[in-house]
Amino acid sequence: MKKMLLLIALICFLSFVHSEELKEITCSGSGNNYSGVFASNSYCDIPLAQGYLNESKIRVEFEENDYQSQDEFSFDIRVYLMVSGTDLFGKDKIQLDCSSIPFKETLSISPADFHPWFSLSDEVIPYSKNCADDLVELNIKRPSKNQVSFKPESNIQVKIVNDLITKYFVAKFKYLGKALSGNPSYDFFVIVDETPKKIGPEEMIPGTKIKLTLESLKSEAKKAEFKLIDSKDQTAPCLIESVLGKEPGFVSCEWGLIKISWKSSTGLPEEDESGKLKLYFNLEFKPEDSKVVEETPSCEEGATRDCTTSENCSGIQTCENKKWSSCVDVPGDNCPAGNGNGSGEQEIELNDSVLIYYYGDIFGLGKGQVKGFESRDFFQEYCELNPNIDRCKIVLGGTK
Amino acid sequence: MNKLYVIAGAAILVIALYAVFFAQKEFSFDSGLAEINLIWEKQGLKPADLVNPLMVYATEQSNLAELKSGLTSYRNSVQAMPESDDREKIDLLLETELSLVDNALLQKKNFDLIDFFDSSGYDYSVLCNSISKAESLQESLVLQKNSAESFNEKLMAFLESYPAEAEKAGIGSLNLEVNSDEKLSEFESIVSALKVVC
Repeated sequence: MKKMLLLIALICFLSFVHSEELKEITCSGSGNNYSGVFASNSYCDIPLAQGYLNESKIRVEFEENDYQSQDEFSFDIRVYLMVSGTDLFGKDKIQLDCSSIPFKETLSISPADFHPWFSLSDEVIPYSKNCADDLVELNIKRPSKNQVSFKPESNIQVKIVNDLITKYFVAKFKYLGKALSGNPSYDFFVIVDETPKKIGPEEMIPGTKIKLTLESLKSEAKKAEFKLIDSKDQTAPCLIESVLGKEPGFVSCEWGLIKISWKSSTGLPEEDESGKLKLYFNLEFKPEDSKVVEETPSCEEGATRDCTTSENCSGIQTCENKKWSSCVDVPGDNCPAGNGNGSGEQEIELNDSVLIYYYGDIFGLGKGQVKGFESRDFFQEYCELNPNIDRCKIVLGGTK
Repeated sequence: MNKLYVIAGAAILVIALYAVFFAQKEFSFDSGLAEINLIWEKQGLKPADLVNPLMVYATEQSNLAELKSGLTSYRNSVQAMPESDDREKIDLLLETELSLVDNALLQKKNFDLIDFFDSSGYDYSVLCNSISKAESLQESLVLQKNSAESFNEKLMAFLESYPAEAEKAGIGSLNLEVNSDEKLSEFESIVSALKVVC
């Protein structure tokens, strides 16, 4: 019995020793601007001036990292929105993500275990950081390296936007509303981490992979716009509409000879074992007429020669820049039938045989499974507003 | 003359009895199920589609309304038939499936409301100016929850009584997700809070 008590006492003592409680400091200021000098492991609470939810506040936590090098000083800053106006929200402590992910991204029923981490060197101070889609702005200053005390004593200014609480509730309304209604846009797309392989027509051999980038995803989740990137970084817009339609769609991309269709074995969107949406995108590569594509040896500038167009019509090729141009139909020969004026470039005839089938999977992940994002709809909205941000790009990968 | 009446009456009775007997013999669970399947197929749907939010999202509201109308109409005609075990099974099956369609209709309505708010992006004035729609969504989500519970209960009852028939009808493994009261309360509180902060 004594041993047992001793063991319990020891555990209590150890847990006491290891728990570093944060000390409260005062952040002074008024309105939306506050500042405080933070010692290591301290926090301050900033009241939110609202007629409702009077006890709501912003909490800024400052914590020194264990690891310090001579010329680098690092610490964690965590910013929380603490809403406590009703019993229901009494427990709501929402960590605002200070790594330029919008405020909405950080909303969750349980606060995410995500700690924004800054590593500041002399070159970057004073450091300004917008948290949660500009809802909170942090301006961080720390004592110069030349000062005697190179210790974590940082002056942090906190600026809060006026409508933080309103934005919070609007975001939460949408988030919960979607979740409760079972809105499928949650689990619609996923990022597949894969080094993109860019290709050109010459690389269209079986097994080739292509980078298919999600350009944007409409909020109603019925449209997905894709961008194809070839080996020369040229892009071609491809729009796949009605992804959720019942019949497999078929759409041409403007670039080259690629057509994209989506399908599943049943013709309907499928779910994998875990209930996530799975769509197969089928890229068909159709080769150009080799006679047209093939570069011929240099020729004499301005020379012409007869050729046969892809529609078996008589044509003419001209030597331009020491290369034979594509085969142009002879004007007025009524070939192909109906082509009265015969002018303009002859369209390239596509070989009917399909060289490669490429299957890219787009399948949804559940909430919280996408790197850096807690929920699909937040991610989606974020990307709609910031389509050029790398993490918003979806790369399809894998062959089947 | 009287004899003639008796013979004619007897003939009519025989025909009527035969008709009743024949009709009873003709209506079976399989024939009823075939009728039901036709109604679903007409809308390009099957019961499993309506437990998949994605499919509900992709299905037009008019298709769901026509499906409901078709199933209701058929149920009325089934209920007018003479009582039999098979008639009872089909009636219960129709009741269960109609409950599923009702849930899909509610879900569809909620999707539309969510899309309305979603289209505003970060502009919260849209939501703040449409608080009545927000309330409508909140109420409708409660109805959706009740409806999902109701379907699951009806399906469970059908499964317990007629497991083989449930499998045959393709509803054996269906289940609708039911939102928790806690989440619904939280949503209600958010709507209340919005009324104040907007």
